[in-house]
Amino acid sequence: MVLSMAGKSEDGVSKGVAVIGSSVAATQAALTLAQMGIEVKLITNSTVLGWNGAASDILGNSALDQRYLWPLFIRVASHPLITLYSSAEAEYIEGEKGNFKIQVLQHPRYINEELCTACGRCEAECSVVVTSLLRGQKIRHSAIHKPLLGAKTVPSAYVIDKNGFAPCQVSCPLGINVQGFISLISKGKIDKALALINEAAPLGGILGRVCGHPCEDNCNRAQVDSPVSIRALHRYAADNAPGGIVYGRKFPARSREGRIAIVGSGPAGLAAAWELTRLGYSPTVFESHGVIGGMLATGIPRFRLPREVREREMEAIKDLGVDIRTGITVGRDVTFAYLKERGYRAFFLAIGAQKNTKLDIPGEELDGVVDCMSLLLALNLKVDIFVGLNVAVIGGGNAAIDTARSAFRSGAKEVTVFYRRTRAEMTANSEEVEEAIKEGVKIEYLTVPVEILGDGGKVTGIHCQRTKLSEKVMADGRHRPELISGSDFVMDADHVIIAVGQLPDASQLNMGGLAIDSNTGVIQVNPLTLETGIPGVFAGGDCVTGPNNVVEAVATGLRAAESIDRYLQGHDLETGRSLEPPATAEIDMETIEVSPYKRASMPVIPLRKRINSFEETTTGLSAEAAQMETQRCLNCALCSQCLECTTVCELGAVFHDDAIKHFEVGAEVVLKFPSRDLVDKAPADNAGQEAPTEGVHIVSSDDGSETISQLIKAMAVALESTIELKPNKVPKNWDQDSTEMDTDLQPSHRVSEQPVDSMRLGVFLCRCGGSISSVIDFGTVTRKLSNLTGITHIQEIAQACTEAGAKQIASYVTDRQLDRVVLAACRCCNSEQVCYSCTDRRMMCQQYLSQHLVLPHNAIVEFCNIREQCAWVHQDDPKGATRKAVQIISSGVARAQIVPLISLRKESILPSVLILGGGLVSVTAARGLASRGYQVNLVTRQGTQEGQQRYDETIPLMLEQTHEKNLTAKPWPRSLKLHGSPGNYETVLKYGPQSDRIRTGALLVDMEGLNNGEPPILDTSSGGGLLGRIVSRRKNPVFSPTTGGDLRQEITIGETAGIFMLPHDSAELPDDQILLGLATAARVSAYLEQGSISPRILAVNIDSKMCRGCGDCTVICPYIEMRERQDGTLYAYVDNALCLGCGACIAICPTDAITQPLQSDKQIISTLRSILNPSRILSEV
Amino acid sequence: MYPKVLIFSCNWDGWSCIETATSSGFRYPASVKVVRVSCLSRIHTGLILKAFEFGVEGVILLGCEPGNCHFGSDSEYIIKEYKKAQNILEMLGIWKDRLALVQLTAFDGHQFVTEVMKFLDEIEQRPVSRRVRTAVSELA
Amino acid sequence: MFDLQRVINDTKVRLCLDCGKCTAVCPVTRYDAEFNPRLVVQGALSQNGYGPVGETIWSCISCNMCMERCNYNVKFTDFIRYLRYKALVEGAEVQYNHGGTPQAIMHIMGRKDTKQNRLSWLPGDIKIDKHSDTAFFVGCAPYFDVLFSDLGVKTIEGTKGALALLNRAQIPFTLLPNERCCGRDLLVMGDIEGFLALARANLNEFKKQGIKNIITSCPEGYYTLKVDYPKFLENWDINVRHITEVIAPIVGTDQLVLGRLNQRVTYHDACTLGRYSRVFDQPRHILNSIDGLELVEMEDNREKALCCGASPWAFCGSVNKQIQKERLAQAAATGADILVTACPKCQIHLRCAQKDEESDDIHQIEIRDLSAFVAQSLLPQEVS
Repeated sequence: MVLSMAGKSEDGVSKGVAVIGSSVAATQAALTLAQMGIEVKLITNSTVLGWNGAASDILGNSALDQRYLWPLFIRVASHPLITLYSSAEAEYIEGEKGNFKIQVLQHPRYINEELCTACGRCEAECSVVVTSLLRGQKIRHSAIHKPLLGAKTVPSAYVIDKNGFAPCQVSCPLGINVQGFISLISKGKIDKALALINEAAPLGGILGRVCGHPCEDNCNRAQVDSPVSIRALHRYAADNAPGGIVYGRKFPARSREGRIAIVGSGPAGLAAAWELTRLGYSPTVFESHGVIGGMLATGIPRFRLPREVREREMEAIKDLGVDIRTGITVGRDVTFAYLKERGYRAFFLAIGAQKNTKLDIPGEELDGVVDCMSLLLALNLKVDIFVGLNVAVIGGGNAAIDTARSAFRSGAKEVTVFYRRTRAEMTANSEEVEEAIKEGVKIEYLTVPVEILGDGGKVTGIHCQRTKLSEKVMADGRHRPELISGSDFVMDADHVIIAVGQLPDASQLNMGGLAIDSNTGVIQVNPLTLETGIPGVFAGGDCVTGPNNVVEAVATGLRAAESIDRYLQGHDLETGRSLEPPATAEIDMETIEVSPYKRASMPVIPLRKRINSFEETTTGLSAEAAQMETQRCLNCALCSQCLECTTVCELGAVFHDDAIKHFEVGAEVVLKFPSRDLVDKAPADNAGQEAPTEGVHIVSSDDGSETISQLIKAMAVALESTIELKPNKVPKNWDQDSTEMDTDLQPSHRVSEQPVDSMRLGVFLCRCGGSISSVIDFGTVTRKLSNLTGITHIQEIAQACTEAGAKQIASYVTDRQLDRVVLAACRCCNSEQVCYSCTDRRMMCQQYLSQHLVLPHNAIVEFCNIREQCAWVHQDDPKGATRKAVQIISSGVARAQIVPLISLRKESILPSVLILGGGLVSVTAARGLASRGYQVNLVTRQGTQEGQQRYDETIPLMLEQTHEKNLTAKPWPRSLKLHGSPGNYETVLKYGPQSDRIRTGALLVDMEGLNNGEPPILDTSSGGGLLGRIVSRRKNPVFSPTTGGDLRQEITIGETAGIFMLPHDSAELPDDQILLGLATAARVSAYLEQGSISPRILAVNIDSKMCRGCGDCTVICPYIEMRERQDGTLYAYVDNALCLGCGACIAICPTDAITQPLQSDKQIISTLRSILNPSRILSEV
Repeated sequence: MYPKVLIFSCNWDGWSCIETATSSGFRYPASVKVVRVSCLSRIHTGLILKAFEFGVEGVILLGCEPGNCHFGSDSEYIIKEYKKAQNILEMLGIWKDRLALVQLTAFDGHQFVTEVMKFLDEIEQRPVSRRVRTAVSELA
Repeated sequence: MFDLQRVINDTKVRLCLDCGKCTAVCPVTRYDAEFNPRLVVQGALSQNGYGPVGETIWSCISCNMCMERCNYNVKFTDFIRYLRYKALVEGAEVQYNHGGTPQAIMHIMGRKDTKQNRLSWLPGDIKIDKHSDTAFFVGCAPYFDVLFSDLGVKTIEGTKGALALLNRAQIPFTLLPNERCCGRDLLVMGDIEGFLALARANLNEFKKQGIKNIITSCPEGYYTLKVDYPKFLENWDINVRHITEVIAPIVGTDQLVLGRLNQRVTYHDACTLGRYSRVFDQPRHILNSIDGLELVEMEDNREKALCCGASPWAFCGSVNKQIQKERLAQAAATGADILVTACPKCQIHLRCAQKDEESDDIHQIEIRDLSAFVAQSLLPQEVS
């Protein structure tokens, strides 16, 4: 099978022709070459054949043209000599004629063309709406879609539109697939949304509340109005997932060795423990407090992070199997030495930053002066904690604001925050600051306390001084505040809380060898690996960064987990890791889909309910609000990677990790078909204006001329290019013995039918990855079918149209010794023709089967289409569809049971041709064929005819130029008669007394050359032999000939039997005639190249005993002739290698003496019986 | 429950219409069955009547438009059989209009479904049982 | 339905002496050596009647020449019918002609709920007495003319002729708008169910109309209704006559005066009318009563008349055509311009043999239906 060779490694051998281009002409050239036995590499920049956005591509064509375009594409995609590289570009070509190397760049499709059946179930699941331009029109479609929206294509496999990474994901320290979970929420798949979040990180409910949301700060939606409320949606998923939190593992529990100790159960410690557990380790977490969560428990007040939420998250982590020991202070209760002895090999220090910074101003020791940490801890975990009525908070971080708001909730009447810089410099989340102000918290900006005043050891007020921001910029990029002298003032306060930051306190660890920053107190680590100076000891979270946002802590925890894993597995800690975020997707605001909704505001509880209450302030988005909010996402990355398509595709055809491929392709000659590029997506053929190279032909085919003339030109070019190839050998499988004239060879000898002796029939039902089985109930089908008599085996298979599927069927056939097969899938016939309703999948289905299925005969597979014709069209009526499927399949069974064992005998084709007619077309064709190495006999009548005059000069000249020794010119005969059978014709040319007998494999007749003959050389009466009959039919207006000349027919039901009628029009320009001549030569040599011919599977047989010799059938068909029996009576005879299998003769025959093995009345009637007259077994499905 | 209808479709333009209809999301009832043949001229009166013998309420002959036959054959052959079958059906009291000849351009899925639904309606609107027959009384 | 022993007794095949006279006179054997009545019987009777029967059982055209010749009256055709029935039950495939159209028509007609519309051909000037207890059984002529239009047959003209003759002779009759095919062709093929369905449907129609007498111009229908129906249907008490039996006694009397036709005609005996029903004289008598008409006999006539070559629309092939050509040759040899036959099927079969474009006298001779031909001689009715 050659469909979808995407990314196939090339041996780089320079053989055959490389065709570069996506026009229909390029496709035709490829097929013509392949049919002439030449290896072809077809490199098309489009995802599908014949699509280049130009006027002449598959969308641009009339139904009439499409009737041969479809079969053309399918033949190309399935021709063994053609290797197709779709969505590929030839970057550059090196080498010279006879030995070119083409560097190919192939864009990812993200879908496996081998597997995808274009059933569209993925499309139904895709929640991303993308807009793209098709022929200048803006079209909305999902991110995974048919290659050509709405249209049928070859290959039919879907494609995914991707655009790198969205800024939200890039800016998220945890790399959460934000667009992904948003699109899942938009489809109401909350569980899946949370699962996707939890693929990256735990603690959804917590991050959804207290995360610093860098994602929102980078959201592209801000360019339209305001960012998508990502954190709120994150929380929505965590709070509303019906299935709750379910953490998945990457590897089974305890599948990895190595004891790990994690010090501290804050976000960093927990994240590390969580990830390591998912990796299959069993880490132990040591927590000095009685409660798990570190700052989450002690530092963040309940009105921001309710206890239930926190506990829910902690439980989930415990449920995953994380072992947490509370009340153990490492360094005091257990020493590192001890832990090492106990076999702990890796350590993660996540002790946070607990030690409060002092103000170092007078009065700090007064009663009523407390640090925020101990107050928050008390308020969070203890009861009956009181604060003063007039509370002053000093600081500008989250801790300060939290304390202020907590105080407000604990009975304080006045709460004032003193901050030495302006609002802009505050590190607290702005939402929190706003809420605080709403709640009545006063904030004194640009203010520093210089002394805390007291009376009798008790706080009474604060002495402050105003500041202004100087030009001096500090390490953290903030301006240094300067005191304004004389701006002193005093404020009353009975409770002063100091929240000017915390420092890590690593000393408690009592661990030698840790590098500690003397003034910040942070543990110094390798920023990438988080490894401390001591091998196997890692540190993360606030104790490394200083006080920081939860999300950063979690991120370091996860990073530490990877380092520890690498450390324990003995891998290098750094290779392949980086802190550099991936590039952010570029988006085009013009084309992008923008919903009108405004940013959802987070609902909060009324102020009065906040007093003396620690109830959560925000209540989370409603379902409706969340829905609307999801619509605001701009889908910057196009495909959101939510992976729903991967889940729904039973065939595993979706491949999100697909990437650009580079490889080399070799060829002797290169044909380039540049095309005007109207498609926005596909890059133009880079035909370029490079200097002409010998052996590289640039064909300007896509000139908006009629499709047919483009195809003719392509065929001509194809033939010309072969002249540059290494000399063409005599066609293969040609053997001299079988050249005996056997004109009386009875068709029955060619098509031998044996009666059916054994009957072991197998029925195979193709699920088509669910696209069939999701509508049709295979259980019922199997049950009903098993009531039919004569079925040996019924088997359901996942997918029939792949090599695996074919092998699977083949193995059942061997095991159960089946001698005939009914395959219910999408393929709908077992004939060799390629009709324009056929699809690449149907083609693959048959090709793979013929490769792997060993049966007495190929016609014994009966195909039933239950996909498009049943499952799809009756989607909304599954019962009806199931019932109909049973009927369709049982009709297939009935047919298979009566189909005779047919074997079609091959006849060799002589590698020679006789050409009749002296026109420019014929002469050109003659030369072309001669150049292909075939013996050519050119029978010309020159100069005698009006209308030939203008060739009088050209033709002799051309003949003389022709040095082909295998081209012989013959004079025009008095009369002519054709004998023989396909592949082996004998033309008798009569010149008065003497005559010339020429045996050739093919015959090329220039109709005008023939008709102009005066007197006519051909007897067109009924006794005129085959050619006479064909020609007379051709003259008959009612009945146009069923042979030759018709490209569409040739492409669909295969080559004619070697008699080609030239549609000759002397009105055409000489140039066009030369093209036509070469194109014809290409067709004829493609025919001769076959080497042998056998009857079509639909060819008729005439029972000479039943034939009454009425001759009605000869009126219909030029191939049928009347012959005489010994007793003088007549009977109809047809050489069934000529028969095209239309069956018209059968309908007209009064005695039913004519039959088609595969389409007999018997078979049609049993089909009718099965689908119309279903016996009781088919009742009430 | 829709009437049981059989379609004899030619493999070429006819079949392409059916294929296009299904792949472009059109629907027709499951009571409509399709039997495909290489060319409509393969079909003769015997097969058409056989379908009625097996209990269909209508038969549609679906093929290429005149001049578009894939085998270069002319519609005259099928038209002859079509008329012959119609006259016999008329006599059998199944009536002419239960046999339709539909000739479409390739890939016209929409027209195909339109024709089918029209045919089904016709059958439901004018049941055979309620039609007037030439009675002796009128002739005498 | 068919019990072997009963069939053997009824058909007297045990009495066969292997004399081979049947084979000697069998027209099929003459052109197809494979077919041999005597051997068919032998084969079938071997192994206690379960012996092998070849494809050849379908070749018999049931012309009954064999039985005519057989000294012991072995009913070969009935026996063949039994063998065919048996073969069908065992699932044999039959090579029908004309795409099986006639059989399909018969099966559809056989349905109870069939309500035909088959009288549209009826000319307005035909007088029908719808209260009469005599029915004219039209048969399948209306269908034949559609089915074999390309042969240019007009078998319905025969029916019209017959009706005209009855009108002229003032013999009252009615027509049945929903009569069925008599079913002979199914019966001969061994399709007994199909045949019975038709027979019962017909009986039902006749009873509904209170029919006591039937006249028909179709020899097949005539023999089937007269001889086979009583065998297969209980309470069949209808008297059946062929048009010639009705007309012959009264031609030349005041009741029916025939006119003049200056023509040389030869009469072809249909098997079912002649050998089967022994109606030989009436048609000839009627023809002879036409002034100016010269009736010339063919070499084989009456009991020895050669069959038209085909019977039940099946297995008709080159052999049958040769029989037909032989018959046409006999006709041509008489020098007649017209071959007259009472049977629409004979007319069809002989015309079919004339189809190929050769132009010898075999293909020249005109073929007419007896009733139509006779009616043509009728003088215009004087106004009274």
